[in-house]
Amino acid sequence: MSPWVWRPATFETVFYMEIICNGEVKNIQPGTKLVAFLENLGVKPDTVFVECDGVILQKKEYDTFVLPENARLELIRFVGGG
Amino acid sequence: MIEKKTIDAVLAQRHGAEIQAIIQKSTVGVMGLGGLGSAVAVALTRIGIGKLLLADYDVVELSNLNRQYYFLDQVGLPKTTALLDTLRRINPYVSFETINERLTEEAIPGYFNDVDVLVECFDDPVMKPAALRAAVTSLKNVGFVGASGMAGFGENNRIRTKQLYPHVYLAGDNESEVGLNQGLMAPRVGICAHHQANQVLRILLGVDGE
Repeated sequence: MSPWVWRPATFETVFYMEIICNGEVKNIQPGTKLVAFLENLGVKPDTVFVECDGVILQKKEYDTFVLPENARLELIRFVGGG
Repeated sequence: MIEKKTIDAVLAQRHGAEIQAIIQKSTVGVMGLGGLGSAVAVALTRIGIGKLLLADYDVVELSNLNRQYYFLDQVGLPKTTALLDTLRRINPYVSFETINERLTEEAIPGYFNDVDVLVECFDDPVMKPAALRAAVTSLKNVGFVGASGMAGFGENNRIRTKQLYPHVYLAGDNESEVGLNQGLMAPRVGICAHHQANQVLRILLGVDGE
């Protein structure tokens, strides 16, 4: 097959970018929303306090906020009981 | 009835006059009057805090008595009513105000705008970060002490008080949630509550920080 034939993107060409979450490097796909990232970590979004690049995110932003490349994310996950 | 000046004199003698003067002019808000909040309120009343603003929407249940500062004859009473009765038996000259309703993230700043320190003692894991957001976003001049992770009978010293921001703290082990054979129990909830109460005192006295 000619190398010049156009091919649609496959899993091999999916790009990843880095963010730092609680001091740990994580690779995520560009465009990942905060809510998806949290669910992927296995935490319920509404039990988490989130600071991204020094800014505290409001709960209503969780569904729409797209994580920027090299974001420094600080999460505090709360457990019930009092 | 023992007079106010008699109680004040004893507290000043115990704690030191300058320290007591600061405690006595301080106002603290307590959100949630369960195992954490009832113990925090009792501790602060015992040291003669100036004013307490106490919020809870719930009533005392029998199942609360394994850890919360209520008595059998108070089952069925609103927690605000029951706790107020107990606190007045400790020191009737503390100024008490109660809020008998379910708090929301949006309502918190309005209620607690004038307190020196706000203590988050909710049970609900959704209200805990909500309270922290409300405090850090809208109550910038108010100290804050939250709590997360105190169920079961895990090691004492895993309960810690951590600074999140200036004058904003979180007590607990951050992970012990209620589960099978890991209920909320008086000893460990009490450790966490008193971490919170002492941190309130440290903020009031201006000796908090790392």
